Amino acid sequence: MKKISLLICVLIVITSVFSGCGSDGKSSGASPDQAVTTAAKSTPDQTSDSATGEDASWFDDAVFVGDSVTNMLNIYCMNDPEALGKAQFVCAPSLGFTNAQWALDDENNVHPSYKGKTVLAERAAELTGANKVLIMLGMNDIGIYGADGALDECKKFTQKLLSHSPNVKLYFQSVTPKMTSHEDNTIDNNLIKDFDSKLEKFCNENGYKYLDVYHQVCDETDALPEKYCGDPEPDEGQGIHFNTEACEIWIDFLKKNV
Amino acid sequence: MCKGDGKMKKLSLVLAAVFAVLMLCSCSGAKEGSKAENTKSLAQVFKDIRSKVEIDNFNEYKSGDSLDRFYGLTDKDYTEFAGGINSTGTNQEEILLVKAKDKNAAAAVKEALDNRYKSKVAQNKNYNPQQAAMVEKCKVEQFDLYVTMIVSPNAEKITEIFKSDLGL
Repeated sequence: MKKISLLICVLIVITSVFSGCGSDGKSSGASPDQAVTTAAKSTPDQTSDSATGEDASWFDDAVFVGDSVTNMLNIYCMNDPEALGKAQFVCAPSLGFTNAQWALDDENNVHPSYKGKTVLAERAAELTGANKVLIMLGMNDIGIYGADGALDECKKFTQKLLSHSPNVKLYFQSVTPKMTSHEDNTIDNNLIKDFDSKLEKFCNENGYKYLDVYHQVCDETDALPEKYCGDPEPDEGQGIHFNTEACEIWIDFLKKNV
Repeated sequence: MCKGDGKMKKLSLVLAAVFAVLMLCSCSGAKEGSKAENTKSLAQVFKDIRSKVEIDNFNEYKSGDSLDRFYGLTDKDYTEFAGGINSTGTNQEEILLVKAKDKNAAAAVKEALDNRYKSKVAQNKNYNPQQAAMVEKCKVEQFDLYVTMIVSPNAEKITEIFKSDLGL
């Protein structure tokens, strides 16, 4: 009886010692799963629940190709799955139809980074497995090559993209407006509208969907109003990037018009 | 003294020895435990950083999806992370603190952050000179299993807090 009691005591001690060690181990550091759980419980900063038209899941097999304007959308959607579902983004500040076609090892390349690797935008659908490609480029071309030159590069880029992914559906989004205060001799809203009208014609001739984002966010003077601009500062800002309010309008428009 | 008493004594001695060894293990375990409690999680470190450094218009990474989105990192690579990215799309401020799962994973994380950093430099150097200058002053660093990319006008101060909080 005494032996049994002693053995029971020993078992209790062993159990308590090892269970204590186990709990210590667990308490140090958060696992990725825990991080995800925390994220799922937290409320997104913005939601687009009011949008009708296509559901966010429509974008699950879509990839956005664009410049710094699209980059803002990427960051906006980062913590909000209700915005554009599982849409992927291949975009970079200063990306245009022209420099997107430069070699990956070009010393002046501005190619996007996708999942930690520098990639060519023309391979966006191929890399992401997307069936739909929504492109918004041109702002970084028109100031240098003009509306016609930019459209020529757009056509070349499109051919390259389709050579990698011949079955994707293409959606071209218009270049978006600048604030009047930031218009200059290089890029003004008339030049942007000129390019957009040429882009629309190109889309109509080739069966691509044209999405006029420009007129969703412009004011009565066809300029980007300050209330929608993310960088309106006279010196540092460019007067072209969106704020969250403009992103919401953009997303809502896309859901209703894709 | 009967035979039964002798056996009982021996058994008691053995059990006492086992108990002593277990107690020692327990004590060393408790020491490790208290050390772990003193080591802040990266979420705590980042909270500390944000309390001491002004970081505006910042979207924090709330799930592992963001690390896959921007860096191609999955939960096979890390045990914890913290950070985020400036929400304007033009300001290049971007901070990521990662604790890799092991040495091999740390090398993979370092490579991913190096690539991301190089992209940021390339994308800005001919486009936004002010931001490019800021990005070029920053760097990716590795401290054993910890890997950081701190791209911020306050990179030095943030690195200092990071290292101090983790005793690096």
